[in-house]
Amino acid sequence: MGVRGKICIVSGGGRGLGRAMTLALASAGATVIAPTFIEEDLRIIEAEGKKIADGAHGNVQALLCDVRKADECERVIEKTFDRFGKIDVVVNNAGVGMLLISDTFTSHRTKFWEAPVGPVKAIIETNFIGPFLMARCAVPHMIKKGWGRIVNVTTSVHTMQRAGFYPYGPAKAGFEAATRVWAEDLEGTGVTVNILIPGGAADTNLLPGKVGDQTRSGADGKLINPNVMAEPIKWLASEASNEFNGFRFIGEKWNTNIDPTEAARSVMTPVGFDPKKAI
Amino acid sequence: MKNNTVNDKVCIITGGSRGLGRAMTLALTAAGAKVITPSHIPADIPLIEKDVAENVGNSGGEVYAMSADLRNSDQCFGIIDKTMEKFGKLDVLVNNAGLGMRPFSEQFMELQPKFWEADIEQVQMTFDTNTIGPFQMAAHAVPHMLKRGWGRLVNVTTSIGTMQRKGFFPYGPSKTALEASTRIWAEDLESTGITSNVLIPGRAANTDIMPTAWRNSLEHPDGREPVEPDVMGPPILWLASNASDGITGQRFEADIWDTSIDPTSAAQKQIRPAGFELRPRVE
Repeated sequence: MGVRGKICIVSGGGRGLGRAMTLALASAGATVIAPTFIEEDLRIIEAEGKKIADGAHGNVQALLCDVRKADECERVIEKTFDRFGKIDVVVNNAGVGMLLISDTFTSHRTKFWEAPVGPVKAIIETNFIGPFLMARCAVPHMIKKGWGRIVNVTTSVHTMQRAGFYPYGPAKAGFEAATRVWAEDLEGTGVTVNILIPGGAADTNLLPGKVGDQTRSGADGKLINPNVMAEPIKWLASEASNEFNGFRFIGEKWNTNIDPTEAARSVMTPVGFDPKKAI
Repeated sequence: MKNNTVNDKVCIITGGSRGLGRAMTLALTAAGAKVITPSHIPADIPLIEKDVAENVGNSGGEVYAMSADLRNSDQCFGIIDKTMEKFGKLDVLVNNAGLGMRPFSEQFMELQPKFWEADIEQVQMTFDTNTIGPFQMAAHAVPHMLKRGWGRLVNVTTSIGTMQRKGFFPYGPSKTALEASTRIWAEDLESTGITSNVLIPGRAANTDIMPTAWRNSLEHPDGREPVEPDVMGPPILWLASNASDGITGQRFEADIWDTSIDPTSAAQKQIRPAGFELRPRVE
């Protein structure tokens, strides 16, 4: 039930949550392709991967990719398929946050009408269109094999609609809704679509300041270790999660002391939305 | 005593020459408002001008129809500039223009198109029109409204069900993003005199967003007849007026708007916050 031999693509796999998932999967024996937007991350993540994954027969290969570009996403998927003959898992993790709008967004709420159009588009296209561009290329390969995983990293429902979080929140809200639609579009194909989130602001480059600085926190007051993603992503990428489609899982709440399928059952909720109740 | 009419209000209704937009344009102009209707279909311009002329009576309302592509930020600026130049102020922005699922399949209701088969450019166009266009319009409109301490943003989204329905990528998610935006905009604009709300027809409406065969059909599988666009009239008149001062971050459904009572009471009767909650755990 492990991930040994699985071919996984983790977008934005060079940093933050993506790095944690990349290293977790590779150290458990998976081959991880890590498309990354940031050139300096390529060597670092490959070296880290080598150190951690060699004994486990896993490995990490990073390559440059801007997920907003259809041809670049297509190249990542086709190169992976040509080389390994299959694609098992796509983790749509790459994202950009409010730092693109303001360096001080956690202390001074941004106002949507002051946000420049360029960064607004970049945030929506990276967080929403990018995952579509990746998934659309990968899914036909997965359907042919009758097995596959799409794992989407969205955010908390509060952040999606929180003051000062335009356009990051709405982009992730659209992504959450897309996850629900995709899960239903793929029902019965053997390909599942689920959400995995850390459960609050994580110690990554989405927040102002430096990674590792424990004085930082997000609008929710949290600073979660990216490694909370490790156990749930290993379970999601394995055969053990075959029966789970259209669910959201929260890394922070994952109980690592029990059987992972039990841990999954105890945290999962259906992906998607209900209307707010009348007051 | 508040002036609860829309007399002399200056309103932009994107896509205001067709469907729900046309219904809102006709309702507002008949009540004395000046309405600017940017549309990407130039052939609509004389049609909406004629419709308004026949419907406006002596209300003093007028329409200014223009051609514009809302995906283009400069053109959005142009619409606002033109409005200021012509009318000297901007009171109401209705983000109504939207692209639906028909470009993906004329039979989208039956075939439930698969997301991975969707044309990339059409997906981008849908998001640009339904999500980014409203932002570009609102971002350019708000500074003018802030100066006067009064304004309305009204976003036309869809039902929470449609936002995440099988076969509705990318329309549903694009409207989800607009719904979340409405909620954030309301909070960003707190205490400015500018409100941000959602107005939807409440169910599938008899407009060009729906397949022709479906509109002409005598039978509707879910047993729900399409709603006519003119249900948008009474709630938009209330939203555009001073009577809705202070009501922000809410969503209103036109098909259940009670026209037999005072509009503020009709609004209170059905008021619900914009936005959404997570689905509860299934045990």
